Amino acid sequence: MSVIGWWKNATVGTRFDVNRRAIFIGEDEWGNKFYEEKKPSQESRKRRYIIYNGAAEPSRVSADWHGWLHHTFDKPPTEEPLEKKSFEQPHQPNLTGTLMAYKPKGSLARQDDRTKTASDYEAWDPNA
Amino acid sequence: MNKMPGPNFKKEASIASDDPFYAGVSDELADKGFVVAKLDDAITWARTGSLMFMSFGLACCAVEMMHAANPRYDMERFGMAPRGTPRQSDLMIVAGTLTNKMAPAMRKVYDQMAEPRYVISMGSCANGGGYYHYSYSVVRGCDRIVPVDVYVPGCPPTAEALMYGLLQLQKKIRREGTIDR
Repeated sequence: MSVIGWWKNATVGTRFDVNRRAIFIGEDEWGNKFYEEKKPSQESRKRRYIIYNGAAEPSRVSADWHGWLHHTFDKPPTEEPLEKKSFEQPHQPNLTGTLMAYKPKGSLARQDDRTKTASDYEAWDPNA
Repeated sequence: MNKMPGPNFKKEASIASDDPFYAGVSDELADKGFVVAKLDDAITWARTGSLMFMSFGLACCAVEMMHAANPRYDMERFGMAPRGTPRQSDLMIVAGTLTNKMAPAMRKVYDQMAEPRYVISMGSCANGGGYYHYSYSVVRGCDRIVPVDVYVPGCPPTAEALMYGLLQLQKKIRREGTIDR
């Protein structure tokens, strides 16, 4: 709960403004709340807002809500859910900077055995 | 404009008074009369809020960097502004193809920046040579010359992508920033 720390939570100003000008549309599985303006304030269309549940991390918005936020879809996923394909994986936020960060096979950050092609030579030792 | 029906209207009217946030702040102020922050948090906050950047624009990525600095994406709201001199900047955005000829100049600019300093590598060419990877005159990634904090992929990355990279850098500073530099 913050006044200036917008990265942890929505600030007082944002909450106040969004509550005053917009109406609640829906909530996704992570608890992010979505709002739409009552009447267009700047452009000819109504602006759409998100109040993050916790840290402001835009990659934590799934494809269906992302599409709605960016005016790709007219109706929110609560009214018109996206078709779920059988091969679809569950949505994941950007894990960079966490322990779950993706490290490709053979990466030095991975601390496991090196690949066969990289381990069959002896590195030059400058002190030898 | 289309008015929303009853239930939503009720929710909207009661939302401000119910919000635990307002109760929390007024409780803390009534109890202590001031708000406490850890010194560490205050310092990293100050650093994230004043990322003056040395705009090292080398190619078309620089155009996207200008877009990010201009009113539509407006990075100034996060306290970032372009500077013309490395001595006043905390961050260098390497935007574009780094050629062999430019590399010593870039290293010199980086060395002139005051600590703590950060580098964002913007676009494929700065990340790893990109389209010009096999050219005889191009450095295969600016991380061969300077240490890079955040890589922004794209060719060129959109202004939005650069903004996301900048916010990721802020996040990184908050995560691992130290008083010691």
